[in-house]
Amino acid sequence: MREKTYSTTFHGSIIDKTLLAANIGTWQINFPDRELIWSEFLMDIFETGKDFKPDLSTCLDFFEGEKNRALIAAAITAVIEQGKDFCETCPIVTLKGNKKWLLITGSKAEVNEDAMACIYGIMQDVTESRSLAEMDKLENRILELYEKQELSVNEILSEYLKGMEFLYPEIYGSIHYIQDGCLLRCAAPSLPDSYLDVINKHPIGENIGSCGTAAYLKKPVFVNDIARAREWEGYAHLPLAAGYKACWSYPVIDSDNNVIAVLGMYYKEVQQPGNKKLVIIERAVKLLQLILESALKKDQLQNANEIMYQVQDLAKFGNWQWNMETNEVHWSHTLYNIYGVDARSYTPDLENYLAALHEADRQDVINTLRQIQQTGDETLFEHRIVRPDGAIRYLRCWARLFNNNPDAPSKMIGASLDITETKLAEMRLKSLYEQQVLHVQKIELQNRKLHEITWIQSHLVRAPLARIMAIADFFKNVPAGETEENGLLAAINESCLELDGILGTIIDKSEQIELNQKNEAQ
Amino acid sequence: MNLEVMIVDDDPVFTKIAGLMLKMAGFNQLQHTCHNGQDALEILVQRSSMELAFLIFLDINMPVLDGWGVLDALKDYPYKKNIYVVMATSSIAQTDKDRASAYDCVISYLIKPLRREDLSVLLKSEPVAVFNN
Repeated sequence: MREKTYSTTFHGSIIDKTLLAANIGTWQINFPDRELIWSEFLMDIFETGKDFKPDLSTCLDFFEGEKNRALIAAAITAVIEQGKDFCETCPIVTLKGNKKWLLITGSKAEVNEDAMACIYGIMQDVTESRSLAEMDKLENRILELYEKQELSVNEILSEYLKGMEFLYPEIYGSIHYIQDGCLLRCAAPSLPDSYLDVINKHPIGENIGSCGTAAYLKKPVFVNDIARAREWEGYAHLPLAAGYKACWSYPVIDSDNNVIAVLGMYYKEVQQPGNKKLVIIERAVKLLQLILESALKKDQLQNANEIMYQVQDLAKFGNWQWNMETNEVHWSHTLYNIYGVDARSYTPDLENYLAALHEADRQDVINTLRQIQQTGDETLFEHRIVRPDGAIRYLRCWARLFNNNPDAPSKMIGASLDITETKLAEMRLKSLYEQQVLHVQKIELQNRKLHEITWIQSHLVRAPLARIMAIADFFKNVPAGETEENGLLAAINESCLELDGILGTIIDKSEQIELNQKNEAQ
Repeated sequence: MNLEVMIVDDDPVFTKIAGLMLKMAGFNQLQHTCHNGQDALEILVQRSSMELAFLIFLDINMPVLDGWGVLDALKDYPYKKNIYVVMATSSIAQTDKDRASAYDCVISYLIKPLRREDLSVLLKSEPVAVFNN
């Protein structure tokens, strides 16, 4: 008997420890006086204190919401009246105001056939597992939101923090990007703007708050009491003024080992580290890493694409692909601009391409494309297109064949550069050159005339002049009577007439030059 | 070796006055007067001799054959070493002076009207001075 008592007690102790480890408390309602009895652990769950004397109506009040209270009341009635066991999961609000989830079972115990002795059951605190399940749902919902791309990343992460704060009301979450060594506000749905504004764009660094330190050191920082933490020296008044006494921060590190963001969990009570909460934070950080790194990469890709489009726009350079098996043609954004068509309504197929070609160039282009198809040679060619508004553009094109299938070409790729401005400049230059040649020819003509005048002046004008000078010199130095004076005087007269005639010729030629200049000016 | 003087100019007044001025300056050699280049070349051919030198006063602008034509033709003259040309022209163009100086036989470029001072210098200068001794 003694041995049996020992064994029963030992067994009971094991059961008690098991129940405790499983967060299970027991309850029972004795009949006929309907006395409610709780195990001590239930008082811990409901945070009532050990002196609490539960009764049925008080106990029902702990359940959150009328619906849950009615559900439990109906279940107990069903056990009492119909002997029907129940098992329900319901939220409660403890005496201290904390929300918990309980798994409740109830069964009937009969002492004899005539009277029911009691109903009894267990209440298991399933808050943690319930929260983890809710976290799963929350994370799935957030990932769905991210995939749909209907909300911005900041909005999605704000939704995430709201969900987390709903599941863990003691937490006030914040997410900050790390950009150029500074905190940059991303999402913090419950923290006051007055606090967020102060820390936004604040440089990170050792002992610059929990988040600043965690981002700087690339490791989690758990400050359980902001008022006493060295990480908050000089800054503690900011969160304390907003009512936050603890802050745990986790850096979000991408696959290249760069800190891209920092997750902050603020509490209004001084905290003690707990493994369960760390699990939640680590899950959150993994999700943030997935979303933020993906978003950043997407941004980088988008930026690269935008830069490429900008470069193509600036260079007036577009590229295209022609799937020759399906006859599908893909144009880059800039190519639509070059062709002056709307990408939303224009179909860039071969037929439309040929229709856009300048009539005089169409056959040449067709021949070139055929040649590329036959030879597979990489080819450069030029042609004109006529835009829908009638404007003519000059394109320099490059095309080559991609032949994956030896029996049939599968794809032709190419690029087109709008060289209209260059072409027009070339044509203007050519026209200017031709005008210049004409000018030079005219100048040469004038020069020839001027040369003629010079020649006339040098040879013809000076000839009679020299003759007159020679005769005058002769008269001066040869004694009178020794010369044929009449003959020489006649020579002077002839020379003067000759000179007069030559001057008239010069004037005619000068007038011709002037007349030519006037005609050119007109 | 003897020297003969030739005045080649289509202006009869110039040839007359130049002839007189040359004599007055001391050019006492036999004078030939021609009114174009072709006539001058014909005289040179007629009087061709290795013992005879010519001092030719040559105008540029002349009918039939101008002065440049004469200079070009003289390149083929068998006794071209005995030909000394004095350009006597009214042209003051530098291009004409440069062109004339390119011919080996041209020894002087005188601008009309001829000046006695220039003729005196010419008379005393090589190679004309040799023939006056």
